[in-house]
Amino acid sequence: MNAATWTCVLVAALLALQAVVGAWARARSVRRYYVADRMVPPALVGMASAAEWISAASFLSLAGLLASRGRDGSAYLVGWTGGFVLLGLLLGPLRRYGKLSVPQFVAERYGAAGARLVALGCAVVISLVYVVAQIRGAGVVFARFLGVSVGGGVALGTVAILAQALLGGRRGTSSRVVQYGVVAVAFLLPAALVSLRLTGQAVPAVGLGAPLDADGAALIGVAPGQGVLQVLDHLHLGMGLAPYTSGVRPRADVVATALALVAGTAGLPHVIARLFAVPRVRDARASASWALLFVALLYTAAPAVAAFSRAGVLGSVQDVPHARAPAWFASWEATGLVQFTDRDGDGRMRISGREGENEVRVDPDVLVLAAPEMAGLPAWVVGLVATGALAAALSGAAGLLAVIGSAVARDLGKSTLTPNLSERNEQRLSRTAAVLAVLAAGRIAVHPPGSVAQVAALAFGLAAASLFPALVAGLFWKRASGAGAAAGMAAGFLFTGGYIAFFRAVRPDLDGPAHWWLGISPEGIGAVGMVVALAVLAVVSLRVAAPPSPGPSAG
Amino acid sequence: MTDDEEVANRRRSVGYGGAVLAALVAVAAAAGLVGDAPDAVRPGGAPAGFWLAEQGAVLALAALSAVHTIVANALDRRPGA
Repeated sequence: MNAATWTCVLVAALLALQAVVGAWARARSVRRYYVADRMVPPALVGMASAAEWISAASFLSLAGLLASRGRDGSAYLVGWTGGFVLLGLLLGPLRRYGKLSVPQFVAERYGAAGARLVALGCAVVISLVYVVAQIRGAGVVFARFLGVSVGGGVALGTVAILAQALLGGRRGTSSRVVQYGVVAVAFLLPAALVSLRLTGQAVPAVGLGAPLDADGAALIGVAPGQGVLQVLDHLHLGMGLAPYTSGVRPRADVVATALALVAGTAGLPHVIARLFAVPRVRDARASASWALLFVALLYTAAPAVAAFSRAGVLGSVQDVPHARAPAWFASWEATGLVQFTDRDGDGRMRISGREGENEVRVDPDVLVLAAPEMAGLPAWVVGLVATGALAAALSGAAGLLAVIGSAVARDLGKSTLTPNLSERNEQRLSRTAAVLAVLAAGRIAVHPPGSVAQVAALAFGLAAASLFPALVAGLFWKRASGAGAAAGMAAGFLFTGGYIAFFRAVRPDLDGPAHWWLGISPEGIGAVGMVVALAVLAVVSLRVAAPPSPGPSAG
Repeated sequence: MTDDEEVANRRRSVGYGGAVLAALVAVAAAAGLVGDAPDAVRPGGAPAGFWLAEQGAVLALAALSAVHTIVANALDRRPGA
């Protein structure tokens, strides 16, 4: 069986499993629809939270991003793990409010309709951007294994995620634990096999530093004995690129991106809701730590996958005649995600850091999927990775679509517009909102504003600049007022969104360190937006009369 | 619990939370700002600076989270807290 067949078999098995578990855990009341079962051990809740967390951005795209950025990619690793530490800090104070989502917290803490509507709007846009990343991730997988262009893949991804949005609501913790198992095996087993093949070390993180063995060195086309990082540094220098292991992006951007992702994690609505599946604060904290541990298991392997696949690309493509391109290269060319432009007309593929000389473009999002092929691993390994990527994309989309649905149906429909909405209509409204969101996200995912991980990072940046400041000020500053929160969220959101739109939609030709404000990229600008939001929130709060009754007493 | 004790308790947790937050920001900044200088050392084969940024920071944050959970839960468990 070839990789495509294996993918079909494994995906069919996965869909069947999801349908069975989905039918079994189908929400029976609206309460269960939003947060399923509340009495589960922290380690399992942590595992379920990790499953919710590991979307296409972490599974499919993170390692590719690390491969294309070298050391500068560390901002994503740090940001997406540090966020859990911050969440752990906020759980205690937040728990007293007993609220499941940030918009609900804002509604309760500030009481003002203005603040609540702004929070809802922000949450919906943030979730939408995040869903764009998931659809794109699913689209990349579909494109590769059906041999169609990435646009066609995205259309299929949209359909798959749409079907899922219509089939069920949030899945319960047990179903999520299964999900984590599938995703972790699909990421770690192929990573271990690649590492074993190249270095003889089964633990990818160890293989990252270990010398390549004879087999592995031959595969990349270098002499054995050196580690993959040394090989990469050497190859990069030869191609006129900065060494793989040293950073080249503005330092301010690396730190700002990390901070934006940290704050965004705490501001993104779905993770908090999952952690509150346990009744006590101390179990919620333990769950957060467990979740981070399970996430770190993948994140410590990702840099190794990144380095191995980067070496695989450089080794199997550089100076090779295009007519004899490796199989993985040819099959990805059909999707348009890998391209060869013969600038000098010699028919040979050349990767170069020098202006106007590079002939090969490899989209970072293909690397995780292509790594097993490059290492010459059997087809079922490739199918396994593809299945894991699809599972991650579908589950990532499901979590945020539930947020969009609940925000529109529960917070806007029921609490604000029509208080006597029936449960049936509430669910119907929630599903309609989710479907519209998927269609809109699918449209954007055809030409996304960056790789999957980058698009997800934009969602985090927006959350860091809007929901997060309102959350923190509401928890720790008694004088923060509804008007202040509304103004702060709006200011941070518009500032960050405007900056992103300028560089990613209006003038993409200017998108580079030379033109970025303070040297900070659109992925990192959320950190600045957060400061803007907090400043506006503070000024407006101090100028407007104190809020009527802050604190948890109201609930 | 008297008001004084409650205030003291509250102050301790806030101070403690601040310390964890500072450690978090320090790790994030260190991972981003560490230069090429430590790269001359290659423990386990990877340049030290690169290893700290892409592996060490993740491990440090996982450890920080575990320590925070243990300490914060111990603070919560004191009588009256």
